[in-house]
Amino acid sequence: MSFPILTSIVALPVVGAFLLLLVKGDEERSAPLVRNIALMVSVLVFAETLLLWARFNAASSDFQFVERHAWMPAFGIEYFVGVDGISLLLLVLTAFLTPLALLGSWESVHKQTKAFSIFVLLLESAMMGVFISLDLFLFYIFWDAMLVPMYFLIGIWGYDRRIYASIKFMLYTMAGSVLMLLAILGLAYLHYTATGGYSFDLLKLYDLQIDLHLQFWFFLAFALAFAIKVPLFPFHTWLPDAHVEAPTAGSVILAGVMLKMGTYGLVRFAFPLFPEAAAYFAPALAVLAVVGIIYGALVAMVQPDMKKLVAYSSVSHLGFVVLGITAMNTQGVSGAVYQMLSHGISTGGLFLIVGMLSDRRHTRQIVEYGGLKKITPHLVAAFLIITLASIGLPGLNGFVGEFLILLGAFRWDPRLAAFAATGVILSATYMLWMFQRVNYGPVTNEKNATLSDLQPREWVVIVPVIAVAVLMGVLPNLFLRPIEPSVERMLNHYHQAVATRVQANRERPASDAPLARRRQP
Amino acid sequence: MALALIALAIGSVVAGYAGLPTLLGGGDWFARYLEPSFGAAPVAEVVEHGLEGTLMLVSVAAALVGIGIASYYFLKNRRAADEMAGRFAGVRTLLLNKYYVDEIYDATVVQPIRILSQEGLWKVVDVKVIDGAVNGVGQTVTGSSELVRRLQTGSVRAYAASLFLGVVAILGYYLWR
Repeated sequence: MSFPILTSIVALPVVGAFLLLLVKGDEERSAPLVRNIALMVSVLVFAETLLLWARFNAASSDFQFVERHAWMPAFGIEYFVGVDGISLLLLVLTAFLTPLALLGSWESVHKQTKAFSIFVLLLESAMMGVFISLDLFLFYIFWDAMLVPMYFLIGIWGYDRRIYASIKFMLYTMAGSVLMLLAILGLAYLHYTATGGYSFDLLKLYDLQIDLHLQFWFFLAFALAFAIKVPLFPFHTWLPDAHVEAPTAGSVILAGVMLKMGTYGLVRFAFPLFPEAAAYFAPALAVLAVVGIIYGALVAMVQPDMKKLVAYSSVSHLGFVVLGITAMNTQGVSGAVYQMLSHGISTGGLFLIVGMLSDRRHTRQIVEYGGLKKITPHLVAAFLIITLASIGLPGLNGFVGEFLILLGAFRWDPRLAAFAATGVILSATYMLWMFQRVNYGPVTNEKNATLSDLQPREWVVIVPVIAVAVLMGVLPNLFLRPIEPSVERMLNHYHQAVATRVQANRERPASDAPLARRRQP
Repeated sequence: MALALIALAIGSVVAGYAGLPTLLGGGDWFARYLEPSFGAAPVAEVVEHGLEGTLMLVSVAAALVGIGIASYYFLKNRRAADEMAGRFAGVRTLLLNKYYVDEIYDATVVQPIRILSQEGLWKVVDVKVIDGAVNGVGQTVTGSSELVRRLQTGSVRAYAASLFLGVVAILGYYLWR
């Protein structure tokens, strides 16, 4: 048996967290050691994901590095993990952002550094677990395990209204995921009625042909959990609160990775598991996505708080991702996966920049700034590049994904693409207006006159983000190559299922049909 | 800024020669250069050179008249320019403010969208309606729990009494049914 690389990617941060537990001493003396251990562990994990990418066969659409062990055989629960092109790069993104998030909090986190680092590492492990799980039970465990460290990160190291924000975050996402748990249990039961044995194996469940009526309810349960996570309009109000109150590391990981859990869930679970229901609800989801694009942009435009502005901009950008997914064609879905990565980079970068400003001035209000260009030219230069990346300037990462999504949406329904395209203009409006008010003009507040420019540690944080933003803008094929075969496989499965159902419905009435049966290969 | 203008000025003097018409000895070089991309342009060889020549003369004359008027007012006779400005003060302000295009745009497009987003979408729809519904669910739960909590008095006699009433109610239901 080969080296279980996926398990090691999930386990390494946990091992690191245990190592941190062993560090003794008070806050003052232990903090530097704690930070270095956490950083080293997260860099190691990143190196491992790069190795994974290097050894990944991009031509294949199958799940790779698969590990499968019986766990609770009586219920058909397995430890079953693997990656395909859709999850591979999300793993790399997670591992890329975690060390940056840790470094970004180097100065701002002063209390209980050990606990902070442990929570960040545990969060990384849970997020990795979500992306590699191919057993729905395992997936659900990681899905909920993710909430706990984030709850503490916001609740302990957040800003003034952190308790309100963390409880809202926890309850809101839990409410969604409980319904998903019911649907998961229902799926395992349907597998039992169809084959005589329980199973949570995603690949087996893909092949289940489920009664249309049940599909609707199951799809809605999954879609609600994911829509809250995305967040899709109108399930987004936990996001501005959580983002604004979270410490920089929390915001970076929340926006960079956790929001993608929702869209990843749609691509991996909701759409391929319930293709007919998905086809039925896709137009409604697409309309919500387009509403979210425009609504998020308009509300972002008038925010006085930079973090809140970026939070609402995420609602808008994630609307694009959902739109691409609902289009269910190659351009749309590939673009959506690309945009997930791209949004992680540019919004992660924006939160890091806002964190740097907030570390210096202890405020995130736009009116408190102005004229920073003269005082901190390097910081502002980095700010500008990431701002343009977020807007989707050609040559930077944001453009590729948005373009593919609009192309895919246009092929599906030009009206949706037309309305969504206004979001591109609005994103330029709110980002550039904010950038102008913060960085140009005279220095109106004398507290800003003495701000320091980028520190060495901040250079280390921001340069990789910019480098990846440029790389993703200039060489999109590097990233699209592993994505596309897996997207194709998913789409084939989906369209085949929708087509056979239409045929089956013509042939016989559905009233005597079993709840579920296996699809004919 | 001046440097950029100089570069653009040189370009504008030179660039015209790329499309020099046949009348002046040119050969539509630029159109020929684009042919591989767009296919040969429908050649209008038969156009009388008379029209072409008239057009050239008129546009050159218009440019010269403009240059002449400008140099009279701004170089030779500044006072006349000031007089003009005084006489047509309204027109002058209109031109000076670029026909107020920016202001009109700001008043009809920018401010309505901004105010609608801020006072309508954000402060009412987002905070009051959507988030209000979310928090309303929470408040309903805590509120009703607060009510039900009062039943848990901790008084054993009250519990015994409610137990007794319950037994009576159930028995009563079966007996009177």
